[in-house]
Amino acid sequence: MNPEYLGYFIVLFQMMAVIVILAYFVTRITYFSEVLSGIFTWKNQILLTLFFGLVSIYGTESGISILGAPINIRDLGPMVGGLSCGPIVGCGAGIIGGIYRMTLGGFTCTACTLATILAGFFAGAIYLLNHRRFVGWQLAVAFAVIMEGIHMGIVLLVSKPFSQAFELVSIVAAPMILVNAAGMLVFALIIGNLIAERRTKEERDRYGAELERKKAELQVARTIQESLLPRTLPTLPGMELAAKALPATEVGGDFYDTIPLSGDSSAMLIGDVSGKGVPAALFLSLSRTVVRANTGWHDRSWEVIRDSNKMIAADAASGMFITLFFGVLDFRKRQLTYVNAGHNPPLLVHADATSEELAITGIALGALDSADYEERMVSLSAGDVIVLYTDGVTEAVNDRDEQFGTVRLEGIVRDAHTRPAENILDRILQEIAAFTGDTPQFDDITLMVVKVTSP
Amino acid sequence: MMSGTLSISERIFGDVTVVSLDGRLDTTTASDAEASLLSLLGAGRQKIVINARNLEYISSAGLRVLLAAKKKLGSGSGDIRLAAMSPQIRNIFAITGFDRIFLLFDDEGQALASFS
Repeated sequence: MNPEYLGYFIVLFQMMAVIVILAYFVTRITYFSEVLSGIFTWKNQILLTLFFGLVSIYGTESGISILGAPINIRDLGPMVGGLSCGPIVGCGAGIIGGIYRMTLGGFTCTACTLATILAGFFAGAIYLLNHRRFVGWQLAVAFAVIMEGIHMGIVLLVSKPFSQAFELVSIVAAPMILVNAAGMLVFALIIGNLIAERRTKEERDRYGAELERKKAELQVARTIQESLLPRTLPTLPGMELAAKALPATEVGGDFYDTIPLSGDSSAMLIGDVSGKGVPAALFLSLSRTVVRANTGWHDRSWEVIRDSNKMIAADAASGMFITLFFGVLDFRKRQLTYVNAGHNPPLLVHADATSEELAITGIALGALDSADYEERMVSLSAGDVIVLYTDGVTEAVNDRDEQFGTVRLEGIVRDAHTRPAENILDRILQEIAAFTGDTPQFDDITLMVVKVTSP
Repeated sequence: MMSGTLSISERIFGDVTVVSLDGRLDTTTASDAEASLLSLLGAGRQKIVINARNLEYISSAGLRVLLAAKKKLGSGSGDIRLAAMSPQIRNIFAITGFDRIFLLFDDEGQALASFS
């Protein structure tokens, strides 16, 4: 290789190395990050103008003479400044680089000064047209190519004599365009890298914050729901009572409760709000209070539920409703009087293993304000088992998308009905766990078991 | 997860809009269904027939969406009526008592005729 050409390559390589360092440097300073975030202050504008102005001066000084013609990257600073930081920095850096060029004189002095200032001006205009964002490396390099073409055109138009200008341009045009495009590519890739890095971080931060908010909301919903469950279960004369609520990750709004009544009776309730999270938990809280209050005001179960429904319906926004089974156990008469407001029918398994469902006697609370509710009564005898549950039990799914279902539940209860209430409950939960395996469940699983013992 | 997909399509017959639900209307798909029903109501389309021929499952979250839309309509001339539901879906409506809130029809034609 011609040693003269090798020398040019070494010089060009040095220039590129300096550009890499300058580009790396500028992407690490906070003023540049501020501008990328859309924060424009006098301080960052002035400092970045100075920086890209100095890059322009370096571009002039580092220029080399190829075959007697000067090759330089003076326009690079204003171009990068304008494309990445806007018109103030672009024009400012162009004026600095242009004035410096003017002091050097020569027959292309006016043309080169003008071209450098225009480079910063056009770059700033592109930044504004691109909604104050960096255009990306492809357009940046294309712009550098076109701008250097314009630079050559200005030399041809302005510099006299034309013949000398034409001779110069015909030699330097290709290397000038190439060197400036290469310098722009380096800058653009490093800036693009920084922008992509910042975007990834922003997305990660936003995702993290969203996750935190969701977690906090879940915790609030769970705390509300847990606070509404009875801490201890009462001892019922002649009856055993066991209950358990397993909230799903996204809390579903299940609840159960017992309310001691005057005389020899006690109310038991199980319910499920149509919805999840905090709205469901708050709606549950309201519904529970309303039903508790009405339980004190009325003697008949159907009146309790009818009036509770009116109050809840008046307050039920966005179609929320609650299914509720409300049963009153009379220990002395051994009777269960109940209203079933749209809830999964509880299972009553008799001592002889025959079974029946405690069917729906009215619509879910909050759905229809004028709804009527019917009250039913069943007689209980020793050995009878009542299993109250929510749809999380029968709609628990396994990995083959099969539901646990009422048939399976009934089979288990019939199988275990001679055991104490606590055992029956544990047995059902074990069977659900065995059925679902590792498949995540999306609804609360809530169960209440009453067993009638010998008088 | 037993969720999956629900596709929602709309057809217009005069002042009645038929919304066909194809798939499962449960917790995961309820928000989509709610958005399309509310946008219909927002656009003044007050007479809606839900064609449930291809509705495989409806959970309480799904019932809530229908109820929310029905409540939004109030007691004017608009209504949401359902048609062509499978015995399983009809059973869910019967169990929950929602068959007392919504008018249910055997097929879409009957539901459309009921509005005229």
